[in-house]
Amino acid sequence: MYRTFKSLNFKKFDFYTEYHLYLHEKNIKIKIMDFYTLFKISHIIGTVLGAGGATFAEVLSYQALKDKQVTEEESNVLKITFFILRIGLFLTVISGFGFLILWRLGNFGPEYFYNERFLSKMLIVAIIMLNALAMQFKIIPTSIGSPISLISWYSALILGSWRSLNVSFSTIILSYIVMVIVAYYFLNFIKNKNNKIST
Amino acid sequence: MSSLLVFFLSSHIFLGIIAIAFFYSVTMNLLKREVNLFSFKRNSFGGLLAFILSWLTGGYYYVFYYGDNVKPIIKQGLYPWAHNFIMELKEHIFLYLPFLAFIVFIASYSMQDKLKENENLRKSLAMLSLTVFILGLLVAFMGIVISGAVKR
Repeated sequence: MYRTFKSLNFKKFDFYTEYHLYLHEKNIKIKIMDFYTLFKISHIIGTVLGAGGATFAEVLSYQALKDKQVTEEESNVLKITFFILRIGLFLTVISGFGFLILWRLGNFGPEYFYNERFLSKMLIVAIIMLNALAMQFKIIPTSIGSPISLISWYSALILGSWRSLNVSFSTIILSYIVMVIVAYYFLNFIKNKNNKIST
Repeated sequence: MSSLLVFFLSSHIFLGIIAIAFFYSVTMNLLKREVNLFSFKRNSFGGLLAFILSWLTGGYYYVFYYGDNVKPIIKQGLYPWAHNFIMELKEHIFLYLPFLAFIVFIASYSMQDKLKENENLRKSLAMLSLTVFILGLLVAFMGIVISGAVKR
């Protein structure tokens, strides 16, 4: 991988297909895996862990709070879930920046970097991080933080996968806010229902 | 761009992100009821080291490549403000980030005994670490904006 990296002339590099054509032309054989694939796999794993972790954190915390008491075992399971979620966040961010390095080395410019779908995704990832801190600082209660975390992870996943999505930044962010509000009421509804059953 | 410069630019970015992740972890740790001192020391050291290495690799790239090769492209392009304003701002914040990180690291050793009893100290350190994290995040976003303005 290092040899490939070293022997690349990045001025000629132009996204995935041309990158592979270039490797083919120069007869550069990749023994392990090229960077694009490595970042892509890491990005997918990170997002899966993040979105899955956020979902399970929600499900497990509601399950744990059913009897209005969090046992030590439940607390440990939640801690592990949050740990997995953070690993997911780290993998997503680091591989995301890996993509940005490839874009930068290929001089892709504003079409890629200032793309509205990409900027929305970046904002949502920043919200994920700041939301976790705000919850830890107790600036916002869990009832608000949880739907933000859940919807943010799914939004990042959808924005990353839906490449043909061609809507403005404001439309994406407005839809995201609406989804957070819907999730807030939905999760509260489930919580109240749980409380009624337990009483 | 030579492979050394590619390596330095990539290292600058990755190390910066790793440093931000370390300070995120330090902040989270300091906000807990019981601070894990070992984790506090290890992560603040890791963050400081990553910031310093990111500083050096980024500095080398900036001095030996950016000024002559990238800056003119940005200035002639559609987004000259990406250099004139964003890069200037990024440079200045970036210069003092390792110093702030150093203060957190020193505190993790010199004030460790007082952390348990002095809640105000713990909160102040958490705020400082949070400042490092948010500034780091800001610098990373500014890096994205600057990179986006480079188009041949």
